[in-house]
Amino acid sequence: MTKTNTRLLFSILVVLSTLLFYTGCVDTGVQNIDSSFDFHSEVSVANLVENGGAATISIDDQQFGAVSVGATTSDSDLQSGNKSMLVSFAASGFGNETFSITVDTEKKIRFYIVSDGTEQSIIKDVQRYTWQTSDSEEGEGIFTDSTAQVAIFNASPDLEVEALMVVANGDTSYIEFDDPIATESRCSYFSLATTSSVNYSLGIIYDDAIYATVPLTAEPRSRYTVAVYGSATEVDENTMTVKYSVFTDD
Amino acid sequence: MFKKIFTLTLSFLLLNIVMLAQSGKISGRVTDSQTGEPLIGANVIVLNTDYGAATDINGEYSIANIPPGVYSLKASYIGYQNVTIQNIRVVTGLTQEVDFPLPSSSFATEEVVIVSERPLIEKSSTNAVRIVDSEALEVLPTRSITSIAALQPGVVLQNYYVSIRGSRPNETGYVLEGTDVKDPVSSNGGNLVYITPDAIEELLVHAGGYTAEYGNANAGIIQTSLKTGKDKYHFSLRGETDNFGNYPGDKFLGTYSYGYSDLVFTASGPIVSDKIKFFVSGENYFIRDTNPIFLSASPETYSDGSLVDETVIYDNGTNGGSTEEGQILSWEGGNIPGVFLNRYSFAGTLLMDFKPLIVKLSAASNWSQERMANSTGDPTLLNMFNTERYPMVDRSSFLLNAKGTYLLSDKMFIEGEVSFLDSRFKQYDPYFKDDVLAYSDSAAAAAYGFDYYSYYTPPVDYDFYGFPFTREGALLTSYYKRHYQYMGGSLDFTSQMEDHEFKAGVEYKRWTIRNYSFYSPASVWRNVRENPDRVRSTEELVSLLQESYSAFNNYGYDILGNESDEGLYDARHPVFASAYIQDKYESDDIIINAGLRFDLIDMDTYALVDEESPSLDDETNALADSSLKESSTFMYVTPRLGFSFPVTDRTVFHMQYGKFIQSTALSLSYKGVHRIAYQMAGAYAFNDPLAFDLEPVKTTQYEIGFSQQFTDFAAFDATAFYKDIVGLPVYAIQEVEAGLEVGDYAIYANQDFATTRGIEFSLKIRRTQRVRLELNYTYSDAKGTNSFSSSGFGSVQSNGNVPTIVLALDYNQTHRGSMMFDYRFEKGDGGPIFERLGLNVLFTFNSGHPYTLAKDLGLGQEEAWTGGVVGTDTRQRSPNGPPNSLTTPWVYNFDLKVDKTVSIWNFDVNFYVYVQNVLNTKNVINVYDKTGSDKDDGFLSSEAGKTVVGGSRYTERFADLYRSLNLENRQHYWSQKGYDIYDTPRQLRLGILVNF
Repeated sequence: MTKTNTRLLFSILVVLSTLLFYTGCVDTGVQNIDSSFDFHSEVSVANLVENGGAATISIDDQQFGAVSVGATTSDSDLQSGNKSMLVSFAASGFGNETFSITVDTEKKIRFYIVSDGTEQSIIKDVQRYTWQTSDSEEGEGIFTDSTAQVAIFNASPDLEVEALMVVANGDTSYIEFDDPIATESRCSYFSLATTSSVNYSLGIIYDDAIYATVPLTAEPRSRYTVAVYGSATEVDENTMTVKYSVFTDD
Repeated sequence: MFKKIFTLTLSFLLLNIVMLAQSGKISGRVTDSQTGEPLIGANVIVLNTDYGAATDINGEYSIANIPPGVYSLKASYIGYQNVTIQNIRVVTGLTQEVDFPLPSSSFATEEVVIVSERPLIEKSSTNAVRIVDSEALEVLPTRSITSIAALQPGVVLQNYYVSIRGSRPNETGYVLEGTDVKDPVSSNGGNLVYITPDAIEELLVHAGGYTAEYGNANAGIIQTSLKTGKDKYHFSLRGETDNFGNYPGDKFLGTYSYGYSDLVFTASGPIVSDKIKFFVSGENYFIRDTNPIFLSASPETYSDGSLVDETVIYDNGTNGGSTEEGQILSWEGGNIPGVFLNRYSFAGTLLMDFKPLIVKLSAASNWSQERMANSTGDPTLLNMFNTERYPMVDRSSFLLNAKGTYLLSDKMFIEGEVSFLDSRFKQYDPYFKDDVLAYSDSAAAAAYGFDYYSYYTPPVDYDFYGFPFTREGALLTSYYKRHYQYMGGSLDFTSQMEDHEFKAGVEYKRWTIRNYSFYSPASVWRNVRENPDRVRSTEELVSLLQESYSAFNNYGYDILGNESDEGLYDARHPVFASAYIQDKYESDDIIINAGLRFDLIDMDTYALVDEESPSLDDETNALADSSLKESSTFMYVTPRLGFSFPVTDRTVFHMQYGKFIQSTALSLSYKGVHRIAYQMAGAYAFNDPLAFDLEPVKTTQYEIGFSQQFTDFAAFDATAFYKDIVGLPVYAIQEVEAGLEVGDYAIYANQDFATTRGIEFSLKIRRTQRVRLELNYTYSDAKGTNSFSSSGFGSVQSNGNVPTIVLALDYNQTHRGSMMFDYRFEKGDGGPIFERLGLNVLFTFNSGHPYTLAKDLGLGQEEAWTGGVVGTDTRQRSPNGPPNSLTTPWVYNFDLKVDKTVSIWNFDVNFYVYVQNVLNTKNVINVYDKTGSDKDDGFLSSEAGKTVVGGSRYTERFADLYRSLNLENRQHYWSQKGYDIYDTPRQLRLGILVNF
C-alpha cells in the first residue's frame, strides 16, 4: 500500500470514528439545573399611616420615593428575597422606621404601611404571580370577564368590617362576611357585575353603622382593593367616618 | 510525521491488547494417499487469505490466529495433485482438524476439490461450547440474539433475564469481538452494545467452565464475532415488516401488527488493496409496540348495561381533581397507543493484513430513542389520555476495538488490543428534556397548554372508580442519565510448540461510571423558589440543593448535573485487571487445557471505618470523611483445568474444573453520597439498600461431558455440571450504636449461596435428505438461599431475619429444551418451484418456574386496583406454603419460517415469512401469587374485594374495570411486577433479503 493510500485510509478512519462517536452519542453532559437563579418581584408600597404624612421609602437601598397618606408607589421591579424597608415619615414625631420584609419569588406584592395609632407596621398583600395577567388572582385562573373583583383591606384599628352595602344604578344590596374583616387583614375578592364600566358605591358597615361610603368605578376584568384606615370618628348616631383609598390591583 | 504517528499508534496497539481470543486454528496432517506416509514441507494455504503453513517432519501443520468464518484450504506438494477442501468453519478458540491425503500426480490429472462436512462434535473443546454460525442465524424464525442464545442448553430466558446454569442474571458475560460489553452496573446484567444479526459471523455460548483467558462472568459467556470482508465484494439489503396495512388495531390472518419494520444493509470486500478488507452493516429497527402483549379491547358494556364507548366516566375527586372532568374509558385491542422504539445501529470491521503484522479494527455503535407508556416501559393503558407526555428514553453505545497481531514466526505470535466503550442512557420528559426543574413548573407547563393542579403540582390523576388514569399533562417520569465508559487493553502471547499451545496474557480495563437520578422536581423547585436569597450564587445553590438530598442519587455528576471527576461527586472508576497462563496440549488421545488466572478487582466503592457508627456531615448531607476508608482491592488466583479424550474420531469425553470470581453488580455498591445519607438517616424501608466493600462472588464448577457421533450425519452430546456459588449479595440490616443521628440501615451482604446442577443433552443431525435437526434439552436443579439480591427484603424488613433456607431459585426451569427442524431444497434440487425453498420450525418448551403461593392479607397499603397482586413490597406478603414450592405451568411454543430464494440477474433474492408463536397460544409464564392461576387473582371474590366494590368510591364499575383492565389485560400485574402473565402473542413478519 502506498504512503498516500495509507494516509488516506487512516484519515478516513479517524474522521469516520470521530463523526460516529460524536453524532451518535446521547448528550449526557448537559447541566440540568442552572448555576444560579435571580428571581425578581414587583413591589409597591401604600402609605396608610393616617397622621404620618408623606413617607419616603427605600428597600435595600432601592429608592421608592415619597408617597403621601392614602396613596401608593408605582410597581417597581425588585430582587426577591428577604429585605429591609426604610420608611421616613414627614410628620414630626414619627421619624424613621426600619421593617424586615420578605419579597416572595415572582410575586406582585403591595406592602401597606399601617398604624394602630402608636406603632407602625407592614402588611404584605400578595396579589398574583408576576407572569399572571391582572384578571386573575394568585395561582388562580382568569375570572369571568363580566365581573370586577373587589377586596376590602382593613387597616383601621377601630373597626371590623362586617358587611358591605353595595349600591349601583339605584339598586342596593348587601354583602355580609361570615367572619368580619379584622384590623390589618383583608377579605378574598368578591365579584361585582360589570359588563361595562359601572359606578358603584360601597358602604363599609361595622356594628350596624356605615363607616365609609366608597365610590368605585368598576371596569370589567379588573381587580380592586378598598383600603380603610385611620381612626374612626362619629358623624351621627348611625354614621361614622374613616379614611379610605381604592387601589387598582393590576 | 504522519508515518511516525501511524507507527506510534500501531506500537500502542501492540503494547496493550486483546482481551479474549477472537480467532481459531486449523491443524492436521498431509500424507501420501496411497502409503499414508507424511509429506514433509507440503504447503497448506487458506485460500483468499494470507494464512498458510508448511508441514513439519511428521507431515503436520498448524495455522493459528484465523478469524472465525468459512474457508477453503488448499494443500500442494511436488509430485502430488493439489487438494482443496472447502467449507471449513473456523470457530473462535477451537481447533479444526483437517487432514490432506494427497494423491500422486500420476494417479490424478485434475485438482481434487472436496467439500468438507462440518464437524458434529468439537474434539478440541474441553468445555461445553455451543456454536451458532451466521447460516444458522439466517434460517431461524427469530432475529433476537438473546432468544437464539436461550435456545442453547443451560440458558434460561425468563422475564427478560438471562440465566445460565442457575446463576443470577448479572453473572452472564457478553463479549463482542473479544471485548467485554457486559453491563457491569445493572444487577440484571445485559449487553451494552446491540449488534444486528446480519453483522454476526458466529455466536458462541460458553455455558460455564471456560478457560483461563476468560473472567468476570461466573455463569457463562455469550460471545459474538463480527463478519470480516472477503476477497470479493458482497452486498446485501434486507427489509422486514409486520405491517400489512393492519396497524393499529386490525388483524391480518388473525394477527395484529405491532408497527415493526427493519431495514439492514451490509457491504464487504477489499478496499484500497487486496490486503485490506472491510465489512460494514447498518440497520434501522423500528417498532411501535415495544412489548407486544395479548391486549383485548374494552368491553362493549358495563355491567349496568351502559355502553362503554358512549359513557363518560367522571373523576370522583379523590385525588383533588375536578369532578366535572371525565373521559370515555374505551380502548382498541392489540396495540398500546403512542409508544415506539427507533434504533439505528452500525457495525464494521477493517482487516489489514500486512504480514507479519495483522491489524483488525472493529467498531459498533447504536443510537435509539424510545417512547414508553410509563417510566418503566410497561404496556400500560392508564396513561392513554396523556400520550403526549409519555417518557422518552435515549440510548447510545459506541465500541471501538483495535487489535494487532504480530507473527513472530509461523507458530508464535503476539496480539495486542485496545478498546474503548462508551454507553449512555437518558430518560426524560419529552417537553422539558434536560431542564429538570421545569418538570414541575406550572408556568413553564402552561406554555404547552398543560393546566397544573398548583404551581408545583402537575395535573392530578383521575380517579375512575379507584383506577388512577393520568390527566393530560401529568408528569410521567423523573429524570435519569447514565454514562459509562472504559478504556481497556490487553496483550497476549501465543506459541505453538509441537503439541502444546501455550498462551499467556494480561488485561487491564478502567471504567468511568456516572449516574444522575433526579427524583423530586416538585420539592426541589419549590425549595429553590422559596429561598431566593440562597440561590443567587452557585455555592449557595449547591448548599441548598444538598438539603434536598433525598431527591438525588448522583455520582460522576455534581448536583447540578455536570460531569464531575473530583471531590464529593467523583465518578467511580472500577478497575478490572487480570493475567493468565494456559497450556493446551493436543494429541490424538488427549487434550489438556490447564490454566491459572489472576484477577484484580477494585470496585472503587465506599468502605466504612466502622459500620456500626457512621456519621454524617451536616453541611453537605453526605457521609463524613471520618467515617470512610479506602475500599478493598481484591486479588485472586483461580485454576482452570479441562480434559478432552477423543476415544475415537467419533467419541469424545471431556471434563472440566474451574474456580471463577466476579464482582457483584456495581449498582449494589454505587449510591450517591446524598443517597447514602438519606438511606442511613431516613429510617425507611428501602429495597435497594446500601453496600460497602462487597466482596466478589465465587463459583466452583465441575463439568463432565460425552459426545458421540453415531452416524455420519448425527451426533449427540451430554454434559453434566455442578456449581457452588458463594458470596452472593443478600438483603440484610446493619445495626448501629444507640444515640447516633443515623439509624439501623439496610445493606447488601455477601451471605447468599446457591448450588446448581444439571445435565444438558443435545442432538444434531446435519443436513441429510434435505433435513437438518437440532434438539436441545436441559435438566436443571438450581437451589439457593435467595434468587435475587433483594429477594430477602420482605422477610428482613418484616421479621428481621435474613432467609437462610435453601429453596428452588426463581429462574430454575427444571426441564427446558428446543427442537429446530429445517427442511430445505438446495440449489439444483426440487425443480423450479422447490429449489432453494426452506422450511424452519422451532419448537421450544419448559416446565415452568417456581413461585410462592401467598396468603391474602387484605389490602394493607396496597391500592384497590392492584389488590390482587403481590408487588415489589413483599412485606405485605405471607407465604401460604413453602417458598418456591409450586411451579408455573409448562410452556410450549412453535415458531415457523418459510423462505424461498430466486436468482435475478446476479442477485440472490430471498423472500421469507416467519411467524412467532404460530398457534397464538397464551403461554402462561407467570401466575398470580395468591391463586396460582393465570386468569383470576382472587381479589374480587375476596372479602377485601367485596368490601371495595361495596364502597361509594368504587361501586360495581370498579369490578367491571378490574375485569377488563386487570384480569383481561394484566395492567395491575405489569405495574407491580414489570412483566406479564403471558408470553408474547403471534407475530407475523414478511421479509426480503437481496444478496449480490
